[in-house]
Amino acid sequence: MSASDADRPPPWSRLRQDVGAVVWSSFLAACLAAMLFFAAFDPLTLASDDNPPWWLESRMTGYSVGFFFFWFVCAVAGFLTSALLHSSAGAGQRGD
Amino acid sequence: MNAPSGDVGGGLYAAQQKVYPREVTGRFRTLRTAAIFALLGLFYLVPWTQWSARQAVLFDLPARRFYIFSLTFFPQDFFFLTWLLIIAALSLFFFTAVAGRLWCGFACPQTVWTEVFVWMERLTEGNRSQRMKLDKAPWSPRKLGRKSAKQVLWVGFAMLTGFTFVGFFSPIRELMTSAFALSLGPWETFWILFYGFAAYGNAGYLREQVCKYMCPYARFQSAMFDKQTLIISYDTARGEPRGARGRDSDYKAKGLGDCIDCTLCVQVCPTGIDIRKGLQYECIACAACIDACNDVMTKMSYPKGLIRYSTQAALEGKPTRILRPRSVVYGILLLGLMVGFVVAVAARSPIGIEVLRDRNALYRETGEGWVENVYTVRVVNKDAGPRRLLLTLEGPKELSLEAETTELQLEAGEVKGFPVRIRMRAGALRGGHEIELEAKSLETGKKLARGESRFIAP
Ligand code: SF4
Ligand code: SF4
Repeated sequence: MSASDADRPPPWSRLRQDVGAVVWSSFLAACLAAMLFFAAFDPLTLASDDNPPWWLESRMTGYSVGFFFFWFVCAVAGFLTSALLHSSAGAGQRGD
Repeated sequence: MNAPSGDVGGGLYAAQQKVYPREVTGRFRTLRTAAIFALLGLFYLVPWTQWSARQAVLFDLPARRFYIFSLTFFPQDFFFLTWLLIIAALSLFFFTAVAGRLWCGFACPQTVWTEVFVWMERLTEGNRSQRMKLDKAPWSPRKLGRKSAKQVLWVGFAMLTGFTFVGFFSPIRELMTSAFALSLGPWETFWILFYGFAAYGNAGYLREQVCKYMCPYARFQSAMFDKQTLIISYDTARGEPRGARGRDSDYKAKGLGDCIDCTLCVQVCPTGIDIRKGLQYECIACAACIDACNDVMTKMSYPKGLIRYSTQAALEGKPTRILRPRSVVYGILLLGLMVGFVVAVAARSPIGIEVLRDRNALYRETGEGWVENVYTVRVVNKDAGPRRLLLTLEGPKELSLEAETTELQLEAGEVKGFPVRIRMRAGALRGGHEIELEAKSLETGKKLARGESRFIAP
């Protein structure tokens, strides 16, 4: 069997690379955010009245919803960043 | 960095070809297998370890406390968590500067679980060429059987992994009982499936593509490496010019180097790179190419080590220094932080106190000429045994502490709130004053903890 490039996967498309990178790094960032945030704040004491919304009804729900919230927000930031970096502003003027 | 290929967009769902790394044996393969057994052994067994009638290592998120053998951590110990994170970050820099991507090849969960999934694939679908043939062949009962066997192994192992993962956060013995009774909570079920699915996808399908395209660590390699960093490299001076030759031919006379251009090092590489092109960020330092090449060198009766662990400096013929400003500074910092951490944990007060002011009223005037402030004192006993404490007030002498009892009794690991009032004769003080409530051990009189708050007078 030769080691030609034919039996190797082709490189990922740009879109796939962006999605992969953003999903994974925002996941890592969300883990950190959720860890620090919930070490400092107890989901049960976040609601200020006796009638908390469903996502603050139990700690597990609070942690889980909080984690996905952080993941989502970080991913939004990641996608916007990658979109901004890839759409070259002023490319026409600088001629690069 | 790889230039992105031409097809921008639309490629996300395009069928991906697989990497079929060739299997390899040798010294580093054995070492990696040992590392996998040690690490996964720890992962799957630690949750089952008991320590004085409870799970030895349990990050009890629902109860907001972490148990690590004899230690119990509470949210009040937040500071230790940030300290640990700093240690972790610094270790990353230190070990990468010294040992390169040893982490990637031997310890990263991504690599470790991938190895297990690849092993299961080999078990069911055979070796590299058998797998390639099987994938090309039309569907047959045999193919279906092998593919389903693989999926059964993969899914089962992924579920076990997800279950174990959740077992670090929720007592694993109870988790198992409820799993068998089909009465797992919704979030437990969700996280078992989530983590299991992540393991299945990452280790079964994405594999080294994670390292190549998704992992931030891989891309910081060049920032953390220097010329003295341990890397896996091909000895160009010795190997080139490469070329095929007979086993006993006098290749030196033909002007050839030691590389026989068998491309085995490329075939075994899980990320599909050619190490002979030099250091690349795709290389996860798995050392498979070392094993493969050493095998070839042995068969050819050439000395081993055409591909080997080395450093940039050594390849340039300069001495390798493990001690250099970068490693020494990182090392000293790291050591200091770790020693500090151990000392701080050992010296950690077994008692934690928080004084919370009553939010409803600044102060209260009683009928008998007193002005009172109301507080709740939250006391945590982080100790492994019960504690008896005496609560005292430190502050202006006009103030006095009023409580049902100032003798507090707490069980091991207990968190309790005690209502207290602090009062003064009306008019004795004006405005706000700092106060402190102190907890002393009833037995020894030793001060164990203090909590600060304010007393507000009219
Ligand atoms: S590149 Fe990233 S994901 Fe891959 S082995 Fe290294 S640390 Fe793990
Ligand atoms: S080049 Fe060698 S060490 Fe690096 S990933 Fe490939 S086989 Fe592993």
